[in-house]
Amino acid sequence: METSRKSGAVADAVEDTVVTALRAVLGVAEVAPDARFAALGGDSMRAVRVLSRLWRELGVELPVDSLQKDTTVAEFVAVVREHASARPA
Amino acid sequence: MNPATTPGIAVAGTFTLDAVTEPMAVVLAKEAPGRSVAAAPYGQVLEALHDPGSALMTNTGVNVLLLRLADFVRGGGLAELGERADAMVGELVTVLADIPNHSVATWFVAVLPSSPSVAADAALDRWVREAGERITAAVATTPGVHPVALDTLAELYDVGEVHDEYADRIGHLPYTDEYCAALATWLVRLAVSSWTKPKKVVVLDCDNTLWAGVCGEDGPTGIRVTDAHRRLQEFMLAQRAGGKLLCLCSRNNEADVEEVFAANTGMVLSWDDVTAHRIGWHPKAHSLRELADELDLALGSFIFVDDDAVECASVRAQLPEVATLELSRDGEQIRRQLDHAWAFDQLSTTDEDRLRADWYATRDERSALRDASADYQDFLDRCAIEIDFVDLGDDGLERAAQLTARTTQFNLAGAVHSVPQLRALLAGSGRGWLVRVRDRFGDYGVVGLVVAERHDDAVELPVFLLSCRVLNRRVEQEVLRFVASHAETIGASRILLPVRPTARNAPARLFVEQATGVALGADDAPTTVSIPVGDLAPQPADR
Repeated sequence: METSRKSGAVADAVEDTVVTALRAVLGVAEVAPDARFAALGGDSMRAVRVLSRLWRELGVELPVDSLQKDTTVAEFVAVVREHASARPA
Repeated sequence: MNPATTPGIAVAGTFTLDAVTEPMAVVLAKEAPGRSVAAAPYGQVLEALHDPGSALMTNTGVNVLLLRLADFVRGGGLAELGERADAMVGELVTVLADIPNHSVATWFVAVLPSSPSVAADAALDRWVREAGERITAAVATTPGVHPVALDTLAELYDVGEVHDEYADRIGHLPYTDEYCAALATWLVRLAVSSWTKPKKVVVLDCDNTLWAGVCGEDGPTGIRVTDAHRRLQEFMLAQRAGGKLLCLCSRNNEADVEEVFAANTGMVLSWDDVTAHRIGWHPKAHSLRELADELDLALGSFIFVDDDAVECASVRAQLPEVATLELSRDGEQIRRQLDHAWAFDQLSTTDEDRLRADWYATRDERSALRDASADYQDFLDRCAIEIDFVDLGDDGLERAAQLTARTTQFNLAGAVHSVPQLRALLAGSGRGWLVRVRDRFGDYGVVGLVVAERHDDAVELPVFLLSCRVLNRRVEQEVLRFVASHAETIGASRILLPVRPTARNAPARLFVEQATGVALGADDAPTTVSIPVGDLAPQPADR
């Protein structure tokens, strides 16, 4: 019970961090889960900024191609979550 | 590049430039509409300098080089790539020194801050520092190429984080968006300063501008020169040293203001630093017009500094050509306002700038002598005017370009020339002379410029200008005679004077009319007037 609540909390923190990073880098107020990166104003330079921010805040080293023009927010959150949980505690 | 568009800014650099050029485009669109930002392809610096078709070499506006020197060894390190990097820096130094022969643009070269990882590597850190010094030294001696100092940039724009280490690693974006935005704003500010004529006059309010308090009520020692006001006065003194005239415009009794200058030990400015003043109860727009008449300078060259919102609004409404700075009452805010007021910018300061304020200080003696002189020739004789014609070479180009930008009244063709453009004129059949004038009151410095180009049997003067400070002393006639004897020497028979009438160059038009007898209307289109050299052969002084 305790373990699953813990991982749930981690997952939420990841989602929060990703959404906050996207908002800050792209300068948008709303980031819907099904929105695609390009539609939010994202390009390769802003993708690098988002990845850099997540590296600082979550310690995850994501490949450059993990955030493409047609990547949706939900898909990206899933990728980040995977990398975050793969990190040794 | 479309020659019909206004020249803009072209940038080349050693890293991904989008983070800098994007905010540059935004700031430029606001500050200089119609101009645009272009970038060389990623990582191409030497290519952009060598290729005559590159965004930089085809640009006639402002070119910027952003050099992060550790990038020269990116991907291999100093041990592996050091030799190649040395060669690249050597090549860069050579090409930069030769830039004025290939480009008419104004160039800015910035060496960017090293990343923390470089500072941690002693050998690399030393290499970067030495390479930076080589480049800066090469730039400092090249006319038309300016080094960009970035030491205080982060502080100036309150940038928290300069470096973005991970973005550098995966995207070659070494600096944060915050720092790039500050850099972009600074570069546009420099570009705009190269396109704008520097202001000549700063008109300062007194109460709550030069000091805190009201001198008529608090008394000369009751008002307070706070830290912020002391900094403001120091700033204005530096502006004066850079060539701007300081004037006062205050609603006060004149004696009360003078008393502050005499009695308050906190004052940095002295009464002698003030070139002219209007202290009384007239509306300030009226006083500013009077000051412009008295100094014989256009209101467009004025900056007005006042803490009173109503005064500022009134001057803005009545004299929109004056740059108005509404000063805060908050000390910290005042410092920021002065740091970010572009109106005070001046790309380069010449010896003549430093002399100007002092020259105006002796103006009264001069007009007193004129009044006392029985006749005008006598006045001129007693002034003992000496005119020197100094061959225009590389070391005079900065001043020459500045003269073309600033001289509005006695300027026949009226075109602004950059340092490289002047160099190009001289590289062809052209010759140029700086006109240096002194009289018994002192040295005016270099106050005129004439450039002569040979066209068949004629000598054309694409540039003929004189500062209004030396007009009506027969200097203009002497310059024409000098050119005539040059024409005679090289076997030309006519002198061609291109004239472009403008709203302000009436003195130049009048001179051409008197010298040639050809009437030029005020609204005439650009024209070229021809004078036979024989008409200008040395004449008795009464002519």
